[in-house]
Amino acid sequence: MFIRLAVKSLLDRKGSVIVSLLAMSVSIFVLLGVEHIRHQTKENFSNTVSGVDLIVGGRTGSVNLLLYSVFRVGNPTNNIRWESYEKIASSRKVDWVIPISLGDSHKGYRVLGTSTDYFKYFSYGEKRLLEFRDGRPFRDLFDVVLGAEVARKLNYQLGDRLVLAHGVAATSFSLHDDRPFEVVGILNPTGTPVDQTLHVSLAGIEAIHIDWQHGVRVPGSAAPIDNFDDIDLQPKSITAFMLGLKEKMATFRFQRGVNNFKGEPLMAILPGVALSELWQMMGVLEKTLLLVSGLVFLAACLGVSAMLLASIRERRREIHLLRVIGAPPRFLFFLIELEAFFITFFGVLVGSVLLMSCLLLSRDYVIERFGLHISSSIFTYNSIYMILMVFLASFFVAAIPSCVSYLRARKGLD
Amino acid sequence: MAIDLKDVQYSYPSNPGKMVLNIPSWSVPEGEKTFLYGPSGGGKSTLLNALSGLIKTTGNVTIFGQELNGLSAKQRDRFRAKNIGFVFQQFNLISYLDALDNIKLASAFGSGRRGEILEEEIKNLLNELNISADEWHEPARNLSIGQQQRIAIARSLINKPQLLIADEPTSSLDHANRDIFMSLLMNIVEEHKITLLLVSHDMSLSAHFSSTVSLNEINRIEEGG
Repeated sequence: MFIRLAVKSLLDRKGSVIVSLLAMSVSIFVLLGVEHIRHQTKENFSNTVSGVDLIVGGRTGSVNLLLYSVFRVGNPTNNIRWESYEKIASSRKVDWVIPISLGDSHKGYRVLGTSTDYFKYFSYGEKRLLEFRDGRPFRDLFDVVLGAEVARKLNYQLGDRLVLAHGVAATSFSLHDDRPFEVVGILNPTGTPVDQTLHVSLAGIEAIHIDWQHGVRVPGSAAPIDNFDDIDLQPKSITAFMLGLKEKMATFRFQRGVNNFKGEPLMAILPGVALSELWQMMGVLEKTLLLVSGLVFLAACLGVSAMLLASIRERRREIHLLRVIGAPPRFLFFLIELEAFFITFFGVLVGSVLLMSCLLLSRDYVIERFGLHISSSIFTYNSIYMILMVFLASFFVAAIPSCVSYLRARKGLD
Repeated sequence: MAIDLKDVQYSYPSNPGKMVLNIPSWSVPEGEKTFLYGPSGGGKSTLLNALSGLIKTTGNVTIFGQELNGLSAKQRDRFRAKNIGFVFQQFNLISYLDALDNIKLASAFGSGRRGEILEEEIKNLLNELNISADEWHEPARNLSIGQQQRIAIARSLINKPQLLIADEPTSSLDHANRDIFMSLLMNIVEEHKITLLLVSHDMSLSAHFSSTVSLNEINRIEEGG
């Protein structure tokens, strides 16, 4: 009877209840949406690279090294000499190594010069290796393997030929058009910067830069080269490299060794640590978003509270009647709390369904536009905890009208 | 005695200097039908609140031997639900509940009975009060004042009260309906052996009662204070 009374009372006040319910739904949508997108972005972020023990580059900040080597954002302060790379890579403690050479692009997408070990050892997410949707790793000098997004957006298929541009600008006039590359492989989507990368061999990078100095073609040296067999295509330097160690316990000692490398100033970072440093830098934005969504929720809660408070005035005769037939003050307290609970419950329900629908509908757009894989399943430990907090907050806010009703009843004013 | 008041005094907390009730002594025997009349603002509602235990006065308010001021608030609520039925001029029912739910709600606070036996009892009461089955499931607001008042009587009887308080029950009814209501009420209290206290300013109703009391006689409020 208690629940029936609360439900019928709410249905009797449809107008104001629907407005309160909408406000609550929108606030839940914002609150859970911000939390979910934050959580998913962070997960995407930390899933960008896994299984790599150290990333080595020219001495710079750890975040900068992480940004240009993993996220292809920004530029390195200095390159690493090939001799230094070989010396570190040949250490007995090193299990595998992936060289990285950046500096060229294709229609705004970064080109990564590397070795075939990249396809063997580089992993993302929960140590997932790269998989080919079509084709195979590069084998010949001018073979290129495309990330999923590059292939999809630029509509490339196996066997297509493309020209790389010198530099990383979206529009470049310095094209390596005399040495086009052939698409031999297309990777499956990963939800990481790999999807937006073209992968070629280090030798391929060297080959297209023959006759180039300081970023421009040497004038009068455009004679085509048909046979690269006699040309030494070993790079003189690379941008960075990732490595895996045989013993994980040795990571810190090895890192210290790289940081004190005698040959040139180098820096080794632990990707996990650098990723969390990078995420911390975005902490202010993250907290601001959470604060704003929290305030939106508080406003909705106060709206519900104000609506219930106003309803007490409207329902004075009803409350008096309840008292006369024997309803104790605590009955009135819990009746109003139950009404607030129903509004919150349906607010959470509508807000959650709305959020899941929006995430589902916008999934392709978000992947295409931001390269983020946002799951439409919003129920995580964090979000469930947040929903419990929402119910708790709504209980406390509804306690204002509930207490008013309780106290009036106790004093015999209703 | 059904009602026994001794040295009852009451002032509202918001205006402690102004006494609203001052009744040195007043009693109503069990089974009697008493007509209490008095002008508006004479303290009728406050007296009814005191008799039902909604407010706590000084002195003694004894209903069927139970001294209300000696009970806790919770006990007073329980006592009222079980022993006192109410019928008002208007707003007798929760407007968005139907007849059955209004009566079930009163039962939940009083006897706490539920289930089919209660449902059957409610239907018998509604039939006894000539309320057709079509009206049982209508929200109270869709019914006429007369229908609402008959349902209010059914509600007040569901917990088998010993005392029925009717506060201006006929003020919203026309002449014909007033007579029908009064005869129904009198039959019901007779049949169920209930003590009736009817409060009104309509002196023409006094003909139905064995005892008539003026509120001014029992409530000794001095001018200005």
